[in-house]
Amino acid sequence: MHLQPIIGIEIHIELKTQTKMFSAAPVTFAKEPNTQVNEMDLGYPGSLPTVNKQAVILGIWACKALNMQINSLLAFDRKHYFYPDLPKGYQLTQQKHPLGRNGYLLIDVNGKETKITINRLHLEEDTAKQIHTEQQTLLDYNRAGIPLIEVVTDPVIYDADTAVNYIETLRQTLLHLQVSDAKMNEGSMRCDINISLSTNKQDLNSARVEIKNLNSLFNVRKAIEFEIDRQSKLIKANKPLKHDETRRFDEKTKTTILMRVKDQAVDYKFLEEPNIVPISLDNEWINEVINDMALTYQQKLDKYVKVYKLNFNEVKLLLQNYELSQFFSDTIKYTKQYRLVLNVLIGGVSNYLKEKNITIKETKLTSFKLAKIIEILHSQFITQPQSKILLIYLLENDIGVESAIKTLKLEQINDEQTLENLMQPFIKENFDKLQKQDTTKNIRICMGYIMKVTKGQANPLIAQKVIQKLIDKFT
Amino acid sequence: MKKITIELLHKKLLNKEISVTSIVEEAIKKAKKYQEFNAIVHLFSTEVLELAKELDKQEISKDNYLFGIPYAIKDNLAVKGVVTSAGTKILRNFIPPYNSSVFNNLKEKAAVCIAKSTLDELGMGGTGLLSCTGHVLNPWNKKHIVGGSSSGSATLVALGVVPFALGTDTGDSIRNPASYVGVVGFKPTYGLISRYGLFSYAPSLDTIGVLTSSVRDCAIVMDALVKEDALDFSSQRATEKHYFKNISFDLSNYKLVIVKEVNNDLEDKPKKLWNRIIKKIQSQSVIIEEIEFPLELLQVLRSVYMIISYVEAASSQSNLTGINFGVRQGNELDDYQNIILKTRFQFGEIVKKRKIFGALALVDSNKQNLLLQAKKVRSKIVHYFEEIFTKYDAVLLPSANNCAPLISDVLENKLNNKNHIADDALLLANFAGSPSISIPIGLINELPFAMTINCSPFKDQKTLNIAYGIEKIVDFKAICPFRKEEK
Repeated sequence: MHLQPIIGIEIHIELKTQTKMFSAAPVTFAKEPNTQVNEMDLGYPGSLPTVNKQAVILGIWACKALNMQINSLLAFDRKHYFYPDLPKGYQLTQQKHPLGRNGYLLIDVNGKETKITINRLHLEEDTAKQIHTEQQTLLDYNRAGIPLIEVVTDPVIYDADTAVNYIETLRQTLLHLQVSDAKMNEGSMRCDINISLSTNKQDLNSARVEIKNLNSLFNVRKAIEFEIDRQSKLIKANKPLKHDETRRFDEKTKTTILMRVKDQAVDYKFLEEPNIVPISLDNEWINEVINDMALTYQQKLDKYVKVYKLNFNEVKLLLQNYELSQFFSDTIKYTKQYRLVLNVLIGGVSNYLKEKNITIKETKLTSFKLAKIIEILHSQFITQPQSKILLIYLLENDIGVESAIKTLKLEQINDEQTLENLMQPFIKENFDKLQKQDTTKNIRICMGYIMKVTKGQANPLIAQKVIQKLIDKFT
Repeated sequence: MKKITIELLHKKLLNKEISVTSIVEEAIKKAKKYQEFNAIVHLFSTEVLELAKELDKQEISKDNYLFGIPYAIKDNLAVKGVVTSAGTKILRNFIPPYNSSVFNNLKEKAAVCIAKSTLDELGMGGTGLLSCTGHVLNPWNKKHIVGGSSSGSATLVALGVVPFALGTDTGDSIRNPASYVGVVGFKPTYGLISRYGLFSYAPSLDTIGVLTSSVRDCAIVMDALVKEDALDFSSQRATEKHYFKNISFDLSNYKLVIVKEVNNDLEDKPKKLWNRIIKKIQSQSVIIEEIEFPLELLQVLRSVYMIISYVEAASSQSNLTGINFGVRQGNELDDYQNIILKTRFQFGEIVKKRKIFGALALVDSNKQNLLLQAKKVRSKIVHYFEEIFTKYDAVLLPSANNCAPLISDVLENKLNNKNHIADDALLLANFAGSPSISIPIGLINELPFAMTINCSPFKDQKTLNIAYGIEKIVDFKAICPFRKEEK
């Protein structure tokens, strides 16, 4: 019997806003517990929600990038359940009118383009963080109220490869739009996997297992593989699941563990939020928001390859690191040497960052300075090896490019007279030796000398010209 | 009855006949004297006297009528640093770290809050008997209820402790107690006054309003409270301003109307009084016509209100779990579910019932038949109600079907058998979000009886003006210059 896994993915992504979804408290990461809160985030009586415009804007960007229909009616619903991490006793979400519907994301699975259809995207708020110790449960409300989008696919994924690929592509897409930091390890992107097994792709009636809160691509893959194996065995042993289940992934054993059997559907008693009068978004405003949008991952890839004529695989390498790709787009505001910028970033800079295990933001290099280095290199004012020394120096020191060149004594000596003056004594001294050898060898020896005495600062072309002249003169 | 008014106090302050300190001292003295009425849950004393002294050093502005004027605030409105418990046990240790916007607006005018007033638990009930701190008694006759839920606020104005008090009105919670104690109670247009800091009962209906002893005073306080507020997303910009400056008693340009079905519902004595007052107003060449309103819609007013408000209450008060604030019940062995359950057991019986009913109306299998149906009927009622204002300026309704009932009758549940259209008609203004003001029009069995004047949304000035005109014609103060005990 062939068993077909059918997978749908729900992803919660924290939006990169200054303040929370419904309050003016700041959105931060890893601050002292319960310091980034106000009365709204604590569910205190008398507090009222306001809508964060920036979160709506980022939500619209995400919808656009996922090719969704954008709902111009902005309305929120209360989703009720009693739980310690939910201060108001309900979560504000968009049950009835999600911001986006019916979209898709194109992903590249082993060179084959695959379309993942997306059912809905809605805005909601995060809950408080629970910290369980042996004796007690501690609550940190810093996270409560942080804006989230939830992106829900249709059940159109049939294997772990595609699932992982979809999540990573979505992550890159949202990261490049700066909708979110989308860091799975920090919890700003969390995945729930829904998976069932049946005899064919159309049969969605089998019991479904939801694996909650996966926090790495590795765990997503392991959880899916484990679930496919577990459910297959159950079906083959003629003991298929009777009810839907909620499970979690245990990192130690790489297995999924039952949390709850969903024999009864939970009734969340959705209620339209009466404190937020539904807002009709002006279409002109929505268009303005979309016009202000940064390039998506896909748009950047296309543009860099087609317009800047850069190598596809090298561009992909660049785009995988959002900060580096942002540095690239900042740098090319100052220089048109796209290929050189790309090579330096995915070459020297990347190697340096890897070696030091830091990000480009933690270095002293700015995009303006990098552009300057590239321009100087391009004009052959310095040599390739010199540019590497200069780059490292500027990664580590907060100093202007010209000053760095002076400090490092990297300025080329282009003045013929200076070079001639430096060269003359050497040729005079070694006149006999030089005469016996052939010209090519003579020039090489002389070049070696001039580079040595100038510490490589001599402009090679001019130096060669000067040497030729001197040798001709003396011989 | 020595009623004090803002206008009079302001005039005396301007003429330097009295000081802010003396006004505030007098208010505190009276508050203590009338302790037995249980209208106050927290009396400010030393801190407000210091504030009064500070104000006495300042120059009083001629146009700021609220300068140095003492008032009471209903205890479901947040005051920073002071226990605000909304009459519920769960919140008896709750100190909000923020002010309600209305408190801030009055502070800006240098009005002096001297007391937090008693209310029925979380604004629910409407008798004045349901606060966790005990019964509030009617100043006219202590055996009678004051109504509610703004029970303490109404009582304090009636007793002359303060010239004005803030209340909140979800179903009739300002106008009902105002009518039972013979003061003016105004529920303005929904959205004009910010709800920030108001402990929710039913957010789509909750409205903050004013209790005073004159309509003119009401206009003064409205000028301070009506302000668009970014903290309240349902806050709306007023189309009118300077309510006090524009107050006028001239009724000659208005067409008023009474509703046949509502008047028919009145018992003999109130009906007689009502008809007499209507005739008296008409005798001043004011047009009052009678119209019919679909009886079946009036009969379901209460049911619709119960479904919508109980659902919103069950939802809005889900935060009262004892997890991160409030009085937590349970012990170390209890899991979170037990803690929440035990904590919520502290609610009074009425509140518990309403929450259970509200939650039930919201579950999937009932939602369509109850909540969504109720919302539809609400729109239908509002449609009919607003239709009236295409032809008439204001609808006059009795504020209740009778004067304040006996506490014993209410406690023994003798009155609950039947609901009265005349009581329920006050809900029309809550459903429509429209302004409605209750003013006393006479006495029945030596207890006050009142009328509400209802206009269309955002016609708050018109509401105040018509009320002012009728107040003058009725001359309630002349009918009953003294309360029973002061005779």
